[in-house]
Amino acid sequence: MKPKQIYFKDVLHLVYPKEAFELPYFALRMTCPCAMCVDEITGQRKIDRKDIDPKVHPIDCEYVGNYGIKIKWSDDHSTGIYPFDYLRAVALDLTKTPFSEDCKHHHHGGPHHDHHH
Amino acid sequence: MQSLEKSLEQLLAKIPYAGKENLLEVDYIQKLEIDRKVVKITLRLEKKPEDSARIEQAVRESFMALPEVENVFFLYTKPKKTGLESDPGRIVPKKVSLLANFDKVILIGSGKGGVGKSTFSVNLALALKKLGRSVALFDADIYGPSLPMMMGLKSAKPTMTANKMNPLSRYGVEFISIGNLVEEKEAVAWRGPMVHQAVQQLLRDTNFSGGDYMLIDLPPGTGDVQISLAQLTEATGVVVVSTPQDVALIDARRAMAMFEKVNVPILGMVENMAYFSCPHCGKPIEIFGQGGAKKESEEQQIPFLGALPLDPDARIGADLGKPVVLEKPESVIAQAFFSIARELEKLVD
Repeated sequence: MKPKQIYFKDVLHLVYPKEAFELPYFALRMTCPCAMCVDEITGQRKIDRKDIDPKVHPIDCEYVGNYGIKIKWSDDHSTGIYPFDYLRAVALDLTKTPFSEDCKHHHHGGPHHDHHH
Repeated sequence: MQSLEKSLEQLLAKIPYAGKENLLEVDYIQKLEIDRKVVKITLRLEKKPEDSARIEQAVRESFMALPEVENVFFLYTKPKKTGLESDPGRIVPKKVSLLANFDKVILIGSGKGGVGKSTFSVNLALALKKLGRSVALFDADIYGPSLPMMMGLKSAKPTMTANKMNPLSRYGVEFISIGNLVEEKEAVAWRGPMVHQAVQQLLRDTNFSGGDYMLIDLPPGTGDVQISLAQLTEATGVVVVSTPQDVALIDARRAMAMFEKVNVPILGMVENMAYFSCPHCGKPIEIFGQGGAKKESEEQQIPFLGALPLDPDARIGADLGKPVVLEKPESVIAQAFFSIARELEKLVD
């Protein structure tokens, strides 16, 4: 299902009529579903968390048809299409088991963060 | 502990707007400022003052329930892109879909080939046209383009204006097909990425005038072209054409599963070649069995848009580039097309 609202501000915000999710950038970058990040046959993740900038953040984003978004990341990676259903599944997963402590620490990093809260 | 702003946003998300959506979703909140225990909220000015009053009351009650809030002030502004939407730290996904100058983009798909999908697309386009709509056609069947023949412009080549192609036009319907650009045998050897590029270029570089409907005649099955179109356009939905035969239905089911995956709504099913009217006694003869697509659509709970007979006139019309809807508008099959067009209009309006 397409979220009612979708935007990036410190984290990716997904707003549905009856629920809302926040996805930290690092977790989102790590779960990129593209063929460079995931082996298409085995489904195994090909990127290591050590290789991803903990302060990774989106610099651009486009809708893909009716079903997802394409994110251009600060590390120049831009081949991933994230279907809305996939984003929601990742978000639900994160609410059950937070991605890890280090991404919690870092998801407020990055030049887009403002400290008015 | 979460910030007060966050708590207030969550409260706003619980307040309904016009019954269905909540205040956060409708770009209603233009600005939200917090000065110690005072909240200043800028709202979009509503057309009806009683609506504003009702929302004001709901927001006040909900905010004042928080111990951190002592008072709430309301300001109003005319709707424009300010506040949350233009927040400099916020990235909103861009819309880059092609064919945006059409009100509705309808895909015409089928599970397998030979079910009469292109004949259907052409006649549906002309039926919608006769109902007063502006319609264009796009032949996405890269491997076996048949629109040029069916529209009676088989050897026509599109002209160019400033690096863009002008679509061909016949019977008041603009259309473009790869069949008008390359020789018949050339296109069939393309691989996936080339097909995607060809579709993208055709969509992007054709000067369609735009209008009410763009009908896209897909190749059969669930391949590269379908996925490309699902990525490049914001399709209103897909109409699945099937014959009553079981095989065609199994494939149609597979096609529908794929469209669900890419969030293209299935508008309905059409049963083509549903029966043959005996030219001698006029009785319908059900060559491929009876009502398969109708039964299937009931099972899948998707609308059944109508059944079309197997009619030699439709086939002859297609071969000669004289669509049956125009040539014999009073015939049973043409009337069935008009009825399907009207059903479709009800569904997408």
